[in-house]
Amino acid sequence: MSQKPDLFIVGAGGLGREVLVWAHEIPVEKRDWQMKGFLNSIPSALDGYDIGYPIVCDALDFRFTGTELIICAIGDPQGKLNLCRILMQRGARFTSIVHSGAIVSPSAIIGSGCIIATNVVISPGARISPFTTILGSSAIGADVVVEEGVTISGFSSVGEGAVIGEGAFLGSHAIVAPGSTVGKGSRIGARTVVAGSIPAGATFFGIPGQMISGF
Amino acid sequence: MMQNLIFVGGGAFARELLEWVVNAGLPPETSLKGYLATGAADGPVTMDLPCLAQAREYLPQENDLFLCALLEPVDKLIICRGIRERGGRFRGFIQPYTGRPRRNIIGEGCILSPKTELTSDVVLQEFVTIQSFTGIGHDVKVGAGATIGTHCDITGYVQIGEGVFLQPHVVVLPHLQIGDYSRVGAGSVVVRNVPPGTTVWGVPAKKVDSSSVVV
Repeated sequence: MSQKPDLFIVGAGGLGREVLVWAHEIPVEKRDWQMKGFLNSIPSALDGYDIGYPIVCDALDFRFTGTELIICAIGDPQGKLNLCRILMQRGARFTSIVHSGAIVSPSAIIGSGCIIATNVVISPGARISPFTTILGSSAIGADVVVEEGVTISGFSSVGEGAVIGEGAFLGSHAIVAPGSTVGKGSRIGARTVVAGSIPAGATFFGIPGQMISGF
Repeated sequence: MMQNLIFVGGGAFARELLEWVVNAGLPPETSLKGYLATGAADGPVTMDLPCLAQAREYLPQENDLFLCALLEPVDKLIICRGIRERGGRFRGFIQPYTGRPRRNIIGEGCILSPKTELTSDVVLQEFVTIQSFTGIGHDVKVGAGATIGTHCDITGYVQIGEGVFLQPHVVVLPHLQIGDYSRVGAGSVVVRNVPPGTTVWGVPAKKVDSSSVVV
């Protein structure tokens, strides 16, 4: 029997520790990796936590051999995208962590390097691009397109056919109406309703949502 | 006796419902016959099942069993009641993740999506649709054809009228009544009774022009 590849979690902050929990809730026979530890620029990031896995080194110092798998547990979309693209160029292979409590339609497509947390429901025909993070109890409607590096916080709803642009961020309880478009790099605040089209790079907050300069 | 399952509607929600029904396992002696179209609103992507006819014209056959796969309340009431008047029988769909029934009364053709929860002593009339992550509190009554979106919190003793549409993330405070054919916009917190035929939106929810709330 061949050995399963090593898995490293990039980022040992709160999300990294959560990803470790979700990964371990996947039944052993369904895992195609074995957990090895974290890659983080701050060697002391896990001090005080009884995690059981080490911080091996900074992800930018890691020598990728092409056999190991990594998953990027960074919440901020732009930081995540920048780092993931650098690591891709250096030969890193990304895997996805899909919690066993999530319901993912067989016709939905989930790219590499995605984190799908507990209780998420992903409907038929949805396309989730690489390096997307979808946190707990969010609902992604049919035929939704989520571009690369998006972070969708918990309890969000994305209506059918909506498009979430590259590197966008949705706060918790965000609501994107069916068919709406969130532009690249936009930030949608918590419990904000998006109906229509939000331009790239905008910050949008409230019910009904309004453009604001910052949170 | 062989039964032939027919979906009323062929849009995105019908495709979701089809997957849930297949994943839950078809009952013995049941086959998937096809779907009934309801017009242009079904969109370009169609079901992986044959289209049998227009829903408003279809004449039910002896072994047909219908599933209501529509979301718009008025459409549901007109089309599904029409099929029933022509002799059709409807079955409901309750996802196995749903909380156990506790003295709840669930009417003909109701659809309870994955991860919805009914607490106790709930009455749902015919053709009610409840979408994922929504909680229905104790002693709640929901009128025929109502659609309740994802992530809603319908608290104790609330009465929701016939043909009401609650968009995602609506909170309705205890004991309130939402009148027949009213609509509540996404993310609203309803703090007082809503008269029949009214559209309300916001925190707290206030009366708005119906065109300002995009579904």
